[in-house]
Amino acid sequence: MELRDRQNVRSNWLVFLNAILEQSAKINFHILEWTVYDLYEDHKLEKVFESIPGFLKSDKVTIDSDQARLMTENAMSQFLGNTLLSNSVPESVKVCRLTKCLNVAHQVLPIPRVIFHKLVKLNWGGGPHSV
Amino acid sequence: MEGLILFEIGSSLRAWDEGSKGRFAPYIQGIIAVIIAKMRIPNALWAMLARNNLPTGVPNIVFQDYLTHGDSVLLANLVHFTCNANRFDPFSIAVVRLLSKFSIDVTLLEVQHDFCVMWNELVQEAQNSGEGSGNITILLLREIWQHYSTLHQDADAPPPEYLNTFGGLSGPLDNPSSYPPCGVHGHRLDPKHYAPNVPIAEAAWLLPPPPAPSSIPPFLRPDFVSPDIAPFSSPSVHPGDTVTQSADKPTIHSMPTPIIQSSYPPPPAMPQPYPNAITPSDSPENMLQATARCPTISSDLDHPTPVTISIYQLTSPPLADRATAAASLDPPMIRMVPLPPSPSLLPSSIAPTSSPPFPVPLLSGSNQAPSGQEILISSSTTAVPPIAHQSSFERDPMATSSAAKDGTPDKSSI
Repeated sequence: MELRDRQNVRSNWLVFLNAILEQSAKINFHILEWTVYDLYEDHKLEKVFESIPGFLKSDKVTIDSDQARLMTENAMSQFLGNTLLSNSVPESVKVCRLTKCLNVAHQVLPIPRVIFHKLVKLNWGGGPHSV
Repeated sequence: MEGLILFEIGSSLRAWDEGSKGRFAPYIQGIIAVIIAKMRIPNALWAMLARNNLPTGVPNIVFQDYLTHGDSVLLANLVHFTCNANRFDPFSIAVVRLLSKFSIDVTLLEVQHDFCVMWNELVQEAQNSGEGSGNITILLLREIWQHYSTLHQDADAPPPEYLNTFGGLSGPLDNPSSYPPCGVHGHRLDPKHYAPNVPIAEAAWLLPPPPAPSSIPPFLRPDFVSPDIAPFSSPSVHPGDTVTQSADKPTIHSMPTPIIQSSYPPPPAMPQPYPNAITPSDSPENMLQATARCPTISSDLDHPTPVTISIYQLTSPPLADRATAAASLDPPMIRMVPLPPSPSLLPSSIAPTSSPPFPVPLLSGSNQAPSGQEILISSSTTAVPPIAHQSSFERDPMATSSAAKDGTPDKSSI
């Protein structure tokens, strides 16, 4: 094989590899997204959230980190809102989940603004004292 | 949600914030402030949560006053958050909007005055930043405008050029110049007591009154000087004054030879950051002059509280042990020099039963060491072992200034 052919093969291989990695990143993101949004059992979702920092930091996983972080934050804020307003979730579990989600957000995001906004806009006690 | 769970959530949020080293403190404070503002039934837990979210400097008695005066807690909550709010994050606006839903006309006057001070600062900040650039500050002003307007009805109304015929703002709401500053003299505190990011509790009106002078023990008063000795660094010494000492009192000139001498060579000359600073090679006269030249060399120099302590007090009872330990150092860091013999002035009944390895001067009946054997040290340094103190003195040239304060004579001149 001549040198030019070898160079062609090499460049094609790199293109192919990049395409695989890109696809892999998309596939990984979709897997994460499906996992987070299609789980209906809260305790399983809690476990998934806890594993996300390690998943995003892993060298073996190719994923668009920014997209994954944004999705995670949105999912966690929704999860927290549902948990804190639920009448069926025990209070100790509420506090525990709040702390866990904040810990995950602390590891994944520089400032978890979406979660903070969600917490501020939550209907904590029904309204102000007066007025 | 009920009070208990809200209290637990607030407490866990605060604990989490402390665990993250206060990285998200403004956000967590805002969330807790909103929880406080939105709790429907104020109870003891609510009060505790609100108390903990205010600066720690707010005395309990003041907070109890808040509780009994309408929505004072909520107003304090709003003022405290807004003072520390991040001016670059829309989160602040969302929080202030939620915090400002209360009735301000049934709140304590003092907290209302805090509100006016905060208002004036926001107005100034918005006007300094100019139109369009200080968006969040202007939006904060817009959120609390109603409260300002309520407080300044009637006689306290803002200048008419700011108001339209309906009592609202005459200018556009996003224009900083539309917002009038509070011009009512009684509504403003001394600005030196109140600055941005300073908790409201540090305002002067919240501070407890200073204790009466009669309740302070004499030895704790700043102007206290032991009657036995003359102060070496009196705060009344001014540059150019001549320092004089009475003849019957021990002076720095009559100081004895240091009991402990270091075997270290003198430290190399170091550049002096302060031209008037005392150097290790200064003679006692120079040290005195330098002290007079620069009486404010440190804060505790202004109010020295010297006490007379004899060498016996400094070195006994573990003197023999320390001498042994010092001798066993390799290389010897500190060489112990025996004291000159001195007659015992104490009655034999209270004299030490076992004699130390070398003569040790004893305390006289009048709590004074024998003449020529006492040194002056600051009362705050009495707990420092003399050996370590001496060692650091030798190694740290800057320590000479403290030594001068203490009245310890300069070793290099001996």
